[in-house]
Amino acid sequence: MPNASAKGSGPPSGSARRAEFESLYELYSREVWSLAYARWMDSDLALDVTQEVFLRLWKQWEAGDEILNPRAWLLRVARNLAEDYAKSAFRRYGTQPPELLNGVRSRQPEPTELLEKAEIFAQLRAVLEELSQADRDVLTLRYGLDYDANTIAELLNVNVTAVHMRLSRARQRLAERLATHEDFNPDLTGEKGTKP
Amino acid sequence: MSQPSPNSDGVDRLLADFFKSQMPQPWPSAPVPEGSLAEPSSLRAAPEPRRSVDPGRRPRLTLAVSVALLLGALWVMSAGSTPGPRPLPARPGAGPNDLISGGSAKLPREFDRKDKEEDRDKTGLKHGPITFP
Repeated sequence: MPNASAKGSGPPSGSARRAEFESLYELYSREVWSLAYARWMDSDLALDVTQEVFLRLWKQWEAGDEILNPRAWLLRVARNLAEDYAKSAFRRYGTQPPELLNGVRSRQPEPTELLEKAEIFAQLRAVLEELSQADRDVLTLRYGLDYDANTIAELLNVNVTAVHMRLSRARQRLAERLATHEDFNPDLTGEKGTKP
Repeated sequence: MSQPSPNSDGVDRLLADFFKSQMPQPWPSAPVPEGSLAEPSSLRAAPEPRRSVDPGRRPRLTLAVSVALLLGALWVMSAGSTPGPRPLPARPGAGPNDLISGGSAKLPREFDRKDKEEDRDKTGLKHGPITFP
C-alpha cells in the first residue's frame, strides 16, 4: 500500500488547502472513526483520535510533505493513535462506565424501551469486546458505515473472502453468545424474554 | 446461497442499530488547525489568520534611532566645539591688520612665512589657512 509521503514542488494556496482538507475529512473521517472505535469500543475516544489524525495531516502539509495516498495514511495513523492514545487515557482516567459508552445519559427517567435497548447494547458490547480486533474492524465498517465486502477488503487491505468469513463467523458467535443471555431478543421489536 | 435465518436478520439489525447509535450525531465538522490561513468554511468559521510579526523589528528600529541620535549629537558637539579662527601665519608683507582687524599683535617668529619651507621639511605639515569642508 503506497503510503509514501514526498516533498512536493510547491504547496497550494491556503484556501485550496483548506478545501482539500475538508474534502478529505468528509470522505474519510467516518472510516477513521470506525477503526478507532473498533479498537477500544469507545465513541468519544474514537472521535478524539479522528480529530487528532486530521490535525496531524494538516501538520504534515505545513511541514511540506505531500501525502500520495491520504486514505491509507489516515487509516494507518488512526490505528497507531488509537493504540497509543487509549492506553495513555486509560492509564490516567481508567475505563469509562458502560452507561456512558452507550451514549445514553440518564439525567431524567428514560422510557422503558430505551432502557431495554441500552441493556441489550451493553450486552452486545461485552460480546464484541471479546472478539478480535480484526473482526471488530469488519463489523464496524459493515454495520456502522454500511460498506460492502469489497469496500471493506480494499480498505483493510485483505482478501474479500476473508471479509466474508470474518463477518459470518462474528455474526454466528454473536448470535450464540447473545442467545445465552437471559431476556435477550435479537429482534428488538420482539417480546422480552423470548429465546431464539 | 442459503436464506438468512430470522435470528441472523435479528443479529444484523441489532448490530446495525448498535454501531449507528455509537457514531456521533450529527457528525462533527472538520477541526480547524491552529495557524490555518484558510477562509472560513461553510460549516465552521475559521479563526482569524495571525499576522506574521517580526519580533526583532522593534528592537532593531530602536537601536537604529539611538545610533542616529548618537551620531547626530556627536556631530553637533564637534561642530559646536570648533575653536575660533586660528591665528593665520604671517604672509610676506603681511601687517598687523592681517591678523586681527585693528590689532597690533605680531606672530611669533616660528610662524614667519619665510621659515615656512624649512618648517615644512621638519614637520611635514602644510602651513596655510585652515579650511573647513
